[in-house]
Amino acid sequence: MSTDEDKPEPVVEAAPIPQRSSTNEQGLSARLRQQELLSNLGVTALRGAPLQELLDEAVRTCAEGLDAELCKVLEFLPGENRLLMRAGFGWEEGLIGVASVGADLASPSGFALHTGKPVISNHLENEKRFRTPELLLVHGVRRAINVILQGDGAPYGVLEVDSRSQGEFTELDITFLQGAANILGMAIERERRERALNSALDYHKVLLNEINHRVKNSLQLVASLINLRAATVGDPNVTDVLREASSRIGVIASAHERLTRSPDLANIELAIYLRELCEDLQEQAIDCDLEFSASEPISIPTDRAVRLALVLNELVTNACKHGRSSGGRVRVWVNIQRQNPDSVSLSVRDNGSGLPKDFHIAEARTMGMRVVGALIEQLGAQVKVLSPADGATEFLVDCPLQARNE
Amino acid sequence: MLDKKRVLIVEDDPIVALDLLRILKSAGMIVVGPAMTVRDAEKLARNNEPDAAVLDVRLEVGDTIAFARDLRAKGIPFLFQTSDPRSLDGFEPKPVVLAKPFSPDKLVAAVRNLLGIPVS
Repeated sequence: MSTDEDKPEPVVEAAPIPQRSSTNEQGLSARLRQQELLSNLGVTALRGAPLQELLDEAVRTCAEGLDAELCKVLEFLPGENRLLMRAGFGWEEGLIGVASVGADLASPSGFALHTGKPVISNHLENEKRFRTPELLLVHGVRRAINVILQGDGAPYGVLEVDSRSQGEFTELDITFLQGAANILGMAIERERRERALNSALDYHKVLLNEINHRVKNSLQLVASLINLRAATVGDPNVTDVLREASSRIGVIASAHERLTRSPDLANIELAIYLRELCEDLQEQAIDCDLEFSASEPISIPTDRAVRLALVLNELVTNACKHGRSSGGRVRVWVNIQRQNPDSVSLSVRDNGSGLPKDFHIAEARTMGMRVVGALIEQLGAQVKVLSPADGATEFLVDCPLQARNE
Repeated sequence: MLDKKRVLIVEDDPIVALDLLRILKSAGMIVVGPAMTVRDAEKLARNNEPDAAVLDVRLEVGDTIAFARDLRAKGIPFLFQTSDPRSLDGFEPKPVVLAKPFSPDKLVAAVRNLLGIPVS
């Protein structure tokens, strides 16, 4: 956009330039009218109107402001070195998006585009500096005025007003037309940035999808390695341990999967996530009856949800395992509910074939329970082990929704 | 065991392929493959008349989508196991899809279902 310092010298036909208006008063009222038109165009641009709508209004405005019959916005097509009519006023139908003029320096529009200098041709029939484009000859244009359309970056094209009547375009007309072109320049720049942002966003979506794909492939590879080891190790206890490790990978992967489908990457719906986890666990533990209930949706930061899910995985696996060794059919109830605005409670209760009587989580030796202890501590959560009925065990985890600032 | 079912595996990661092979074998099935390319898969399918197929979607070169359509045309049931379930959004009618990483139990249950073997 031009400023006072770098304002290019207009290229105007030889003087003298007679003033269009016969009296100063008339001239003044024409300038006032031009200012009003510019300010209306500015309002449309500020309102964020779509670019085509703004260009359409601009060509009407500029024709009116310069008292001319024809106006057009020409977009530069660098590949073809031509200027294509993007918007027009006064032209017959079928030219917009179709008609074009050369963008070489010998055409007035091309000259304005490449040099950034406004060009006035008041007598096209005698024009010697430039070749008059076919489009103007055909439409009986006698005089034309061209200014460059430019945002911050490469020039967009040219704004041109044409008239079939006798008369003169003046340097004051250039000021008006350049004012309109500057407004359009800002809007064009905004659209360019929006387009660049959108394509960057699309690119990142593709990238994110690709990364997700790879993360899950890697998790699959790790799970398969563990599965294969589990099958060949020979010791049934070790096999069990490895199978559990493999299922923990599944817990993390399913959170990952939920995340990629969620519009919000930072938070996850805890009730849905844990319900799906319980469904997966049920499939793996055919001899347990697993029941899940949740009071309401609970949104929670993803990393906390994954840790809570690992806790749940351990507690349920543990309950099923202990139940199995005691022979009876195990029932496990999982419930989550919001305790208060800041915390959630997770309850895992079995029907009586659960833990040994004197169980203490802090002293638990099994790997699973040590994992639970570590996760609980990391979450800043509290865990209680209750005995609601004969022999039954209930783990009650009270977990803050957000990490506490130390 | 009478009438062991033959299941074709297409998976280009050798470790995952080995895991699939072991899981299905220990579930009492005969594994055809694993094929690591579509060309191998086509050859194996021609020569071994599988009863069902387990297909990875994206391979080192190309994908198994067209191959799956061929299987469907021949009436051979199949499932996809993929880490990018959305890549199958356009596949109609909707195929059976297992998300990677799969759990062995889920995989066996899904393949049994394809073969029409009731859950024991």
